[in-house]
Amino acid sequence: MEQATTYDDRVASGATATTYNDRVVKQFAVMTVVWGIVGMTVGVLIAAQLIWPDLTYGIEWLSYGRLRPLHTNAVIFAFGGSALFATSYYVVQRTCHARLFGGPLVGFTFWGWQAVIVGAAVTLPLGITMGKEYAELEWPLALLIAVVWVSYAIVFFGTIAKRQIKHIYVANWFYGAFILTIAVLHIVNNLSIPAGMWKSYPVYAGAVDAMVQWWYGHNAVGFFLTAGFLGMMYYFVPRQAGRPIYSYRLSIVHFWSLIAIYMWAGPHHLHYTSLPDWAQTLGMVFSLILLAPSWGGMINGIMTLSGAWHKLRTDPILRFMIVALSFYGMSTFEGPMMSIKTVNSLSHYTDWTIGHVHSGALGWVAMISIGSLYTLFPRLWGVEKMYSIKAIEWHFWTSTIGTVLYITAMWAAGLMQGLMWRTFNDDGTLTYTFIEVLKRTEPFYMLRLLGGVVFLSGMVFMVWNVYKTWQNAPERNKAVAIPQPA
Amino acid sequence: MSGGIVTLLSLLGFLAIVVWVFIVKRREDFDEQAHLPLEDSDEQGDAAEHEHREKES
Repeated sequence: MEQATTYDDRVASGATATTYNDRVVKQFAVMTVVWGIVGMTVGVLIAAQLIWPDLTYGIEWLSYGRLRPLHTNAVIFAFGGSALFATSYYVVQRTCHARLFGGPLVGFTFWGWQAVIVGAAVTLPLGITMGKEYAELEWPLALLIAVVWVSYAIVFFGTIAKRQIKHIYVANWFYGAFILTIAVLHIVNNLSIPAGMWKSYPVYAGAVDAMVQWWYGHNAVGFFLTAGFLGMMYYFVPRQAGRPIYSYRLSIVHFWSLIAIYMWAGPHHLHYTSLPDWAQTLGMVFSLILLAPSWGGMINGIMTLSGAWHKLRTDPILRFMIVALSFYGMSTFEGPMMSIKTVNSLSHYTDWTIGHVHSGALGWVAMISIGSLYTLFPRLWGVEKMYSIKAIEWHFWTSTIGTVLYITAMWAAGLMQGLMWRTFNDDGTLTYTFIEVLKRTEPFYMLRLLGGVVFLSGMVFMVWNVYKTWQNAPERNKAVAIPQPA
Repeated sequence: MSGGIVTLLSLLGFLAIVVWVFIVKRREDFDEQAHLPLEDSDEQGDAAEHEHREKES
């Protein structure tokens, strides 16, 4: 059917209506790997700064306080965000048998998102920040995010609207909830009054500001880092396993219960603060209930392999996905437990929280993304499989070992800190000074740094493997035809 | 008061979904949807590869 030789030629001649738009998927997929390396490298750097505070010679642009938000923004929004854009654009087209809606808007979401990331990489080291965790970017960038995100919603839901398949596959429900909710969260949490080009103040104050921030913050976890990646899981696990999801019925109940309950869990970030006590308890109760849908989803993903467990022996991509689901199960057990107020009084403000976050971020988010990308790249470039399965094998083990080193170090450090901080002498004074606790934490920080370096090293295998796969794909620019109804 | 009503309606709505999915509908009713990730045009080569791999092991 193709006379034109490359995708670009067909775009130029307008003959693209019968093919999928994989160009934007490829762009986002490649940038996922690039931003993964960048974000994790900054993570390793700040992990080292916690051991050697003078590592960057006191240069203010490279100080811990400025690089830490750069790390979180880079791994969540640049790495994770690009992975979500890439996979959602791929999945919505393949499961709707429709080319992406929106024409130039599609390209705008890519370049707009990259502009936001570059803007973050410039402004955060300069110290320009709203000071809200995971929502640091100042109002010009926050506005750009809102415009890109609304465009994303138009592209995604426009594609759903023109689908040729009657059903909307469950992965699209999760992606759709993620896109809609993030739009609402981002806009509400960023309502602020500019006081100059690079400074603004939130319209909220005091405990209300804190509650809005953590309503945003926790739902960024729930919808950006969970619902979106569950969409990925519901498409790529069945596809890589070559079997349908274990229970489609469970996936529907999973969807509705997860999105209904997540929305109320935010106050657990504000235990024992000036937030009203009833709101804290409400957040705790909803966090505990959240275990049910989380584990329902995890079981649904893992059981997809039932009867085909042997595939795990030969397929490191599937192993990435199943281990990701296992970490998802672990961190969604740990989260509700940590939200219990008495447990929280021990764990809060310690490195246990950092361990919990990375069990989810490295173990679940990064590993499900990496697994999905290894499924995606060969298909995007028209080859049978990745250039080196051996390299995926290495990547799998470095990721798993790196994550385990990281989280066990932080668990041990966090428990120790929590216990030392709450030890009192008979006269009511603290037994340990802060510096005493810090000195005992140092070995665990070394172990955490090692875990981070090991995890990052796996990404180097990935870059090489992706490059070699691209290089050895003679038909990498060939577009895939949309199946037409018979 | 109105908050209580909204909560109750939400709960009933959720229960209705559960009843619809697990009692009104049967497992087979969802077969077509469940197979969507497995039925794509760029899947062919790969499905063959999976079979091949299974024979090997």
